[in-house]
This record gives sequence, C-alpha cells and structure tokens, in this order.
Amino acid sequence: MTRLVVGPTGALARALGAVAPPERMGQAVAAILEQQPTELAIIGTGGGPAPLGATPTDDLSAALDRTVGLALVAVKVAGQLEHPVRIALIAPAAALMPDHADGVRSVAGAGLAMLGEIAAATPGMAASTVAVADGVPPEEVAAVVDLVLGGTAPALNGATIRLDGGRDAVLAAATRAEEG
Amino acid sequence: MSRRALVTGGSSGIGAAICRRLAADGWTVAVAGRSADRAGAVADAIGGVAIVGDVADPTHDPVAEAVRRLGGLDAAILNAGVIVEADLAATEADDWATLLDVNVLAVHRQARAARAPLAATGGSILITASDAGVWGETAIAAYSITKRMVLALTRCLGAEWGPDGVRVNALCPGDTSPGMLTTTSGRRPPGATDGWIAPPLGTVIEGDDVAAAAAFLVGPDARRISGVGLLVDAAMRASSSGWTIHREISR
Repeated sequence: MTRLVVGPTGALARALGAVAPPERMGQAVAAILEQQPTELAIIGTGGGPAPLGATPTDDLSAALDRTVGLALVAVKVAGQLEHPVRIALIAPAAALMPDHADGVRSVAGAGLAMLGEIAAATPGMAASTVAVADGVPPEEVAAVVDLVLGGTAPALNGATIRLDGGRDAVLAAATRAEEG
Repeated sequence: MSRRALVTGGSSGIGAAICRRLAADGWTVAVAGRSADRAGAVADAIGGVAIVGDVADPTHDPVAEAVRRLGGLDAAILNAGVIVEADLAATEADDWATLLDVNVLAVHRQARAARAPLAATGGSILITASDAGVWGETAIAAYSITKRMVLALTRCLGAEWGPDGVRVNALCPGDTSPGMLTTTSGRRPPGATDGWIAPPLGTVIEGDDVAAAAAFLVGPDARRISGVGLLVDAAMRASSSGWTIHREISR
C-alpha cells in the first residue's frame, strides 16, 4: 500500500504521515503520477472562520481553489491510475451542517462532501469524507482516515463522517455542553 | 407600487418562465441575460426591462443596474447557471473554472450586491440550485459539486442576513422542460425530453412549475421561510429507487 497525502503542511499532515505534502495542483498531479498511490488523503480544512457576506468574492474563489479545486484535480488524476484507489477527503465540520459564521469553509466543505459522493460512485475508486471540527486532535483525525483508507470496512464508501464530538448532533449542543 | 424583481438567466428556460410568472402576478421584472435579442424579447413580452451582460464578468453588475432602472428591488432571483455534461475523468480544468465562476462565485457576488437594496425593502434572494446538488450525478460531476456548494451558500446567507430581514432561499429543480437539458446548446434538441428518467409522479416538470415555486418563495406567503432549498423534482430525490417507478415520461 502506498499512501499519498495532499494539502497544506502542518500537524494534520504529519499525523497522516507526510512532512511536506504537495499542496499546489501541479505538485499534487506530479506526485500522484510518480508515486502511484493506492491510498490518497486530501486535506481541505485550511483557513479560518469567515462569514460569506463579509468575504470578497475573490477571497472566496481563492479559498475554494485551495480546497475543492485541489481535491477535484487530485481525485481526477487518481482516477486515471491503473489500480483501485481509496480516498479520504478531510473537510471542515461544516461540510455536513453549514455554519454562517464559518461560511467560506461551509461552502468548501459542501463541495468536498459532494466530490466524495461522486468519487464513491466512480469505477476504480472508493471515497469518503471526514468532516472535522476545529480542535480535534490530528491523531484522532488520522485514526478515522486510517479506517476510511484501510479497506477493512469496504462498504464504507460515499460517506461523510462527522468528527466533532457531537457538537452539531442536535441544536445548540455545544452551548449546552458549555453550560453543563 | 409594483414589486420589482431581477432575474438573471431570465432570457430562456426556467428563468424566462419565472419572468413571465412574476409579471403575471404584477411584478415589474428586469430580465438579465447574455443575449440582447433574447433578453429583450422576454422583457418586451412582459413589459419589463432588459439587462445585458455575462454574470461571470466581475465588472458586470446586474443588481446595481436593476436597482437603478426599477427604482429599487424586492427580489433578486439569481438563476443564471451553466452545466457541463462530464464525469470526473472527463472534467477539464476550464470546465471547472466556468462552473465555479457562474454557479457559485457570480451568485456570491450578486447576492452581496443585493443585500443592501433588499434590506431596504424587506426583500429576498432566490437562487436556482438543482436536485443534483441534493443528490449528485456522476454524469454531471462538477455541476453537482457546484450546486451542493451553492446550497450551503444559501443556508449560510439565510442565517447571516436574517437579522437584516433579507430572506435567502434556493430552488432545486429536477429535469425541467424547457430548462438546462433542453436549452443548453448541443445537449439536447430543443424541447426534446426523450431519454429522460421519469420521476415518481411520471410527468415532465415544466418551467411554469418551477416558476410557481419561485413566485411563492419571493412572495409574502413565504415571509417566514429562509435558508431552505426547495426540491421541485416530482419526488425524484425522495427515494433511492424512486426513479425506477416509471419507465416513460408522460405529460
């Protein structure tokens, strides 16, 4: 098994086993073609909370390029390999439940989740999305990515797994936890 | 005073049907489209005004022009969109850039432009998304991704701008005639619905069906509805095997 991590350098990349992963489209394409991975982890969690109304469209465009655009290219190229590939898309928690205070990442997360669903139905691929809240330890994210990529649960495909400690499980769960 | 609406992508398909419906309901409509001839024809037929330009052009500001020519705005219907019929493997970089520009970024830009005028009138934004944004389709992979993104945008802006009194909603039409499947150049012969998968209701969704939902969502009866994506798909997305109920479409 060969694993390739794509996305920004940082603690999450290190936890996934990469010190300096390719984070630009051209670099990612070259690495996929060179390394011929059977497992591909794509980090799309970059940036911080920003509401859409206050964000210039050019800034939204740049944020989407770094996340959904990069992931789309990586998945497409992975689909051209001659062997099956398992893919984990690591998205912001807002991929499943949009958060207006985190609107830019909500839109990016939604795109990543749909990309995962499409990839899951594409021959030669299995793909799921891990939707990660801020503050979740990178090692915990890596454990879930291992499950997605490992092939021990082959029916796990096209899913979006929320990794937020139950924050968005019900209305105002986080508020109630703080009060408790 | 008549209510005032801007409809982008208003010169054909679902957009033109929305223009006609709103005009019939007493609205004054600014019909925005890339073709002066087509936008002008729709505008002339309904007593509206035509706005010509490409929504993907950041220098084109149909919202400001509509506000200027109509004297204000009560609804911004951001309907312009593009589709590329390609699975992931066949999706080219240029296709993705165009889909993102038109289906997401232009909507964001024009929604931001419409916020203040609509806050002044208690108006609303209505975005045309797609049932493919709710449940994706591999044959239109990148299109599905952009439509999921614009649904997230709808929910976020609905919450963010609620305190201003601006409602933000989306429509998620299924295959509609006339619509993208029948008006996008080269995709299908005009008006043809052959080869379509029938939804559980067994009938083609007409542009007027979608327009009726649009008229409701921008109207006063929907004054407490915001941040939703309303499916108009004859139950196509209601069941994982719903599309197997009918083999042929009837009108």
